[in-house]
Amino acid sequence: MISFLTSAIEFGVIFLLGCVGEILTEKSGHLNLGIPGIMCMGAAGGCLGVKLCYLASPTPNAFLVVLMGILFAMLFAGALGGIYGVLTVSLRSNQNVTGLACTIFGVGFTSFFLNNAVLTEGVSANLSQAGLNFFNAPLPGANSLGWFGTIFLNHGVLVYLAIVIAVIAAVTLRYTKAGLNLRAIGESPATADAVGINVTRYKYTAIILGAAVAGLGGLTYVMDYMNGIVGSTVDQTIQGIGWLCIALVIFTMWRPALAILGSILFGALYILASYIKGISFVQMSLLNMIPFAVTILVLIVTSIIGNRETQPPASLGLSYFREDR
Amino acid sequence: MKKLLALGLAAAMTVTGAALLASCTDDGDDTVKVGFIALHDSNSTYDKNFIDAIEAACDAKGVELVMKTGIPEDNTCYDAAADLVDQGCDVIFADSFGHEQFILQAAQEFPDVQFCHATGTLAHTAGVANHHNAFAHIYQGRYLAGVAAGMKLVEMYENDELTEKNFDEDGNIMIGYVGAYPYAEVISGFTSFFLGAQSVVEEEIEGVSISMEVQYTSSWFDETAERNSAENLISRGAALISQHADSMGAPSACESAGVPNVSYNGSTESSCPNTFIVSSYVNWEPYFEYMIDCVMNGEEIEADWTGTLETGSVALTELGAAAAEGTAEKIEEVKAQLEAGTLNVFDCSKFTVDGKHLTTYMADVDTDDNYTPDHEAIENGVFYESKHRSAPYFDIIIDGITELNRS
Amino acid sequence: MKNIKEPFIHITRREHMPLWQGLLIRVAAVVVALVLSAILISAAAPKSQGFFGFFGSLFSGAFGTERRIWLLFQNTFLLLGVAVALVVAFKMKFWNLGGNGQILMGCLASAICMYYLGGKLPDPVVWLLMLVSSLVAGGLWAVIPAIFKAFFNTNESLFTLMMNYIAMYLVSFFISLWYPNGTGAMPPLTDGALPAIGEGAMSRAILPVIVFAIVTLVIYAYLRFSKHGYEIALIGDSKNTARYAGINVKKVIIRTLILSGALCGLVGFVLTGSVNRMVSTSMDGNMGFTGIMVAWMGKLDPLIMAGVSLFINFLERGMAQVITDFGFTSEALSDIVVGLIYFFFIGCEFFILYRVHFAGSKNKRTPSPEIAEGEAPKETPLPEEEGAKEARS
Repeated sequence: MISFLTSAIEFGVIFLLGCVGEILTEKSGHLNLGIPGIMCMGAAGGCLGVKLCYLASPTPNAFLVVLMGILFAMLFAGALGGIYGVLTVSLRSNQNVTGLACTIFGVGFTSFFLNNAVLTEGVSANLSQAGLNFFNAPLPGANSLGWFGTIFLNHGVLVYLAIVIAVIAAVTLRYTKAGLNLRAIGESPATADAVGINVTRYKYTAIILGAAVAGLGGLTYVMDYMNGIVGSTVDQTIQGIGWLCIALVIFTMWRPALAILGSILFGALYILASYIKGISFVQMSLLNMIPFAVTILVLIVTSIIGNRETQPPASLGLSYFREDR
Repeated sequence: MKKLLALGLAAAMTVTGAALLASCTDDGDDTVKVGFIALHDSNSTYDKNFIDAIEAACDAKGVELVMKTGIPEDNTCYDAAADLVDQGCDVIFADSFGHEQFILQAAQEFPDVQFCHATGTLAHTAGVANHHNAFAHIYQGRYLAGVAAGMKLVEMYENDELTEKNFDEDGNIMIGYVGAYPYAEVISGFTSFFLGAQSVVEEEIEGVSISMEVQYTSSWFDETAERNSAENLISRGAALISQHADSMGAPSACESAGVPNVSYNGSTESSCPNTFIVSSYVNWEPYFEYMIDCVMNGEEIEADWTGTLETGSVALTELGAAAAEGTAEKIEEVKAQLEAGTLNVFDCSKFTVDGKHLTTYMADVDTDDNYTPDHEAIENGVFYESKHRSAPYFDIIIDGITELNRS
Repeated sequence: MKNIKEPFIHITRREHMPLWQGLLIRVAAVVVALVLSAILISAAAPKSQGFFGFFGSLFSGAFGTERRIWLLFQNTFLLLGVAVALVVAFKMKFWNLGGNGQILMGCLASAICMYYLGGKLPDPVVWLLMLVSSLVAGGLWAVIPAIFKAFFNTNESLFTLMMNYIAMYLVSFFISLWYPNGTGAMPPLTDGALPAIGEGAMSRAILPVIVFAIVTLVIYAYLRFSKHGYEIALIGDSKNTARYAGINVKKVIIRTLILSGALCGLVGFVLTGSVNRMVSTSMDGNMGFTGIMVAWMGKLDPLIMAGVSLFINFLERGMAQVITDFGFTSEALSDIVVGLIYFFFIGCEFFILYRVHFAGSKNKRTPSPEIAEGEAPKETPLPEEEGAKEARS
């Protein structure tokens, strides 16, 4: 049970990062279906960052390794997010189509990049050493505080970072002027533009920043959860997680604070099948459906209630043309 | 107008392309050409094992190799095989269990080309002369890997590294196994591993044996499920983990928890330096060289070729740093006994089912929809695995092994 | 109110662009992407065959043998079938992202018929049941999200997306149920399989080609000439306008999505009944998503989509050959090239639809066509439609 809860948290934050990233993007009115691909890019970039540290020195500094991993993950993911941004904001292209193209490209690129550019001789040992020792280094007190320590203190730095990011996102969106402006753009870009908000700048910021945050999710999967071991279908696994993140955004009704709990719940559901004794394969299939069925329920219920607070941003999916104002 | 233009362009492209390339099918020379169909590509440890071997074999024999990777277990496999025939291949090999039906279909259609398939079960009954199965007595490799595991368990016991939760209620040391599916190849694999470990522990420690919990993931390759399954087994008390699944999920969980791991199909030493003990694997090179030789000399390929320790088909990787002292010597000792035939892995006196030693067992060797048992597998108190066909058919759950989940 | 600075660059919609110019720009974009890919691949390949070798391998992989040509057409028409199914919904601005799930449900329905009834009932009866159940299953999978969209305005992109996964796990449920001792892959079912026509590769390819060629033509006519098609186009234009015109929007949405899902189910029927004779969780081959790209790149016009589908399949089959010839081991390269082509194509659309003005230039701002509040402008102002719109407003 303890091991289950610990794993649920560790896995859940991957969803948290993807979800918060997508919430930021969607708040600006852009539905980014490229998140699965972007999270993969984050994993690819992160691995490259770690590899570079080891190329510079055989025993690199732990802090530096983690930092480089994070920076490169955000760089790669942000780059693909940038492509999505250019295409949908400046070139006004269809968001669904562009997002799908990003996913197709991002997943393929990650697989190719990891296998050809990153995982050269000896690198996998470095990555797993970094993953195990640096990214998974627990907080002090993890082993001495019993079950509390194991479940809450025994996580790597990325887990805590994810929660901090989610809290910052929630606070920013709700209480700051920038957050208000962003939400205004998401509801009605024309009105926001008329009031003098720089719509284009906010959109780009939200999209690229959202992508960077989501990219950290990919990094967390590889370095924290899988202990730095890069499996050969990591791109497929992360892609699957990415689609769930998009679902989670609806489930949490576009609120980063709710996402913290919601993502751990999703994480728990995702891994539940491995911890139930006596479950048959047939039952496992049904169990795996649950996160998606639950999301559909939330979709339906929130749209029936029609409460303004729980709706998607009104301009979600539509491109903004000032000329048509 | 626009649409006609688009259609016209498409048609023009088709015609040009077809004209350009109807000439492009080559070959007419006499060198043997080998076709290879892989389920994934060399990024998967399972396929990499085969790919490395076939490349080496073709190099050694100086024959041409055409490889198709990423071929799933559906009709695409038939298309790929037929395409290889079109390219002039003389012999075609497919590496995954689910490819067999489609390979068989292709074999029936192209009687002049040889079709070989790993882990398959149909060749000896299908009656198609150019369709062949191949595998190896890998259970012997698993047994030896189990011996290494047993040595480690004994060392851990003697160094007081085991905790109370590592012992089950009967005082046996617990180990765990992550399997993909509950069918013969996997069951045969973990049972032989268990027997190997058990033999060492019972020999070295008075009055203590081992018990094993098995968890299935229902997938050959699911990183997260394998990792979580290993974690679950460890949290239930397993002192050591082994697996039959193609990802690094289980070794990664072991490395993180500091629990020793015995792997399959490749060494995990570089990523798991603290917990890797040894890995068994099938070395396909001997089979591939045999296969190519037969084709070159116009001889029949065996319907069910099963490699052994002697042919070099059953192999172990280098021992990891985590292996116990004296493991290498012990493995050599047991290996010699296996080769000499003085020790049998599935010796019925060494295991019980429901408390009794087996004297007879009808195994399902000939594949049919109802899984009817058809061949007596036990002779002289020994269950002869891979004798009636190359793919394993030991699918009995023996005492001491508990499956945590089942279909 | 804050002073709004006149932007340096501003963008206006083009009134219309000559047909040949639009086509040229799009073809140019694709060619540039291909050339870029060729350069990158021939430079970075372990066993490079050179720049022209890239194109040689592409063509060889797609057209090299008679079998390959049949396979190319089989896949082209299957993908076209999916794209046509999706177009029906897209014309209404209903984002049916659930193609994968709808195809899988069609596959599953057919497989269930084959498994339980094959060999027990006469073949033609089984085929009929397979066809009907596939259409119903696919239609059901699409209409559930549609109903909620019609009545509660539930977001259809996300709903249909989630249905994909439910379908996938349903398939794995049945495979585990039927083959509990198996390895998750089922063997081909022989009873109840659709008959093969002709020999060799043609025998499996001919059915998809014929069926979906017919479907494409029928849907083209349906959308262009029938009353339903007019209703769909009107709703896609503006829901309010359609309501004022007396159209029961809810009914049309539901009816159209049943059709969309049923057509995907038809693809599933062909996939399971003829091409593969089994079902697997990846039998949809991601055509639900690729179909979206085909539909969009084909400007929602079934006839153009045929060409696009051929091109995309040509790329995919050709890239498999490139990967082999150039010594790569990663299948992912194909996705990278295809992704690049998508990006360039998406990007070039902008230059077809809009004209860029720089501040201070003498270009008079051309008045944009009227657009209803809050709606995104139509993607492609085809000359005929644009003129008709002007006349209407």
